[in-house]
Amino acid sequence: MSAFTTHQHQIHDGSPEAKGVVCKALFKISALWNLTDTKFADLLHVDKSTLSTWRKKGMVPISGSQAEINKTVLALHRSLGSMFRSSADQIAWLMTPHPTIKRAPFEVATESLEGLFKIRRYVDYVRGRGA
Amino acid sequence: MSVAPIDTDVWRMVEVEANSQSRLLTDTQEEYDFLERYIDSGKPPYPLGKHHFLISTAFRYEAPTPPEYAARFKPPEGDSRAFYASLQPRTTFHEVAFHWLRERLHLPNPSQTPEPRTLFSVRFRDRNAYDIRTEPNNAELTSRYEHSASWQFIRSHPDVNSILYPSCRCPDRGVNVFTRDIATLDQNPKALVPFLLIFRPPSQACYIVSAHQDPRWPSLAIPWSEVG
Repeated sequence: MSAFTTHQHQIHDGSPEAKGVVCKALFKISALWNLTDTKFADLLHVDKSTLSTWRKKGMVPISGSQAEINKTVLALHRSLGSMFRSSADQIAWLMTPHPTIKRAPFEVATESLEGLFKIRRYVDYVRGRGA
Repeated sequence: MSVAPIDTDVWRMVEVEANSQSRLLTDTQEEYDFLERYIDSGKPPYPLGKHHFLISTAFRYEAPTPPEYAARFKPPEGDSRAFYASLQPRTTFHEVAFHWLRERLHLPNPSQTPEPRTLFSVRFRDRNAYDIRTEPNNAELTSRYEHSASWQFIRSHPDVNSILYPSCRCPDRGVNVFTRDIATLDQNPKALVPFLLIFRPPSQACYIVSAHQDPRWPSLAIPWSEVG
């Protein structure tokens, strides 16, 4: 056997490790977007005490309806990151009234779940536009 | 309207996946791989087949099209899965500049951070491509502001797979290609060229420059006044 053989550790869906990875990623997004706990809780559509519990345990649900919301926020961050490398631009895009959406995307995303899904869809579609 | 066989390379510019922001959210390759897989599991699957993701991604949308995301030749409640490209890179640059600037001009102080993009070409073949450049209502079909004529066209031509149409963004009206059949495209891209897009505030322009300063690809500044 080669001395250079390496073992690729894989994180399995549903494992505590996976819940920790998603938790860490979400809180990093909060920091990158400079969100207060109140605003971050609004974006994830949870109350602040739930957010506090997640932070303390270092884990979030990764299946079920809350997991879909968390996944949507992760996807929104990934898409916005493809559109804008600068976090300042990402924040500005979220917080500034948009000519097509008519309101600030963050406001729409925090107002209702449908709003959050709509903003995620918007960035997916707009990224596919143009030749 | 003319229907004719076409066999040519077409060009498209896309974001650079390698710059995925998930890297910023993770500390190890294993965490990154998991997070990418996890986020991806919430998206529609790639179409069946062996096409490179740069090509197949355009066919990875949910169907039908949500009304607010209808686009040229993509009617509301129609099938959103289609590939847009141009016959010439210059036309692609103008199309991309429009969409890129539209997401920036309303921001209070957009940065001048270089944004990486990849220009790629792929071989496109269709025995029955529709060329609408000679259509009497060509102007309506390619209006900058209104897509309803293009939706009407698609609805009345359900057999159409591919359309050649003049760009409404490019000053010399270069030719764009729309195809809703992935089989018209080769499985793999040919040329892959890295570019940087930079916002130029004074002229509200998208400055497009070869990432490797390749002299074959001279830089180009496209102001909003030209494409908006």
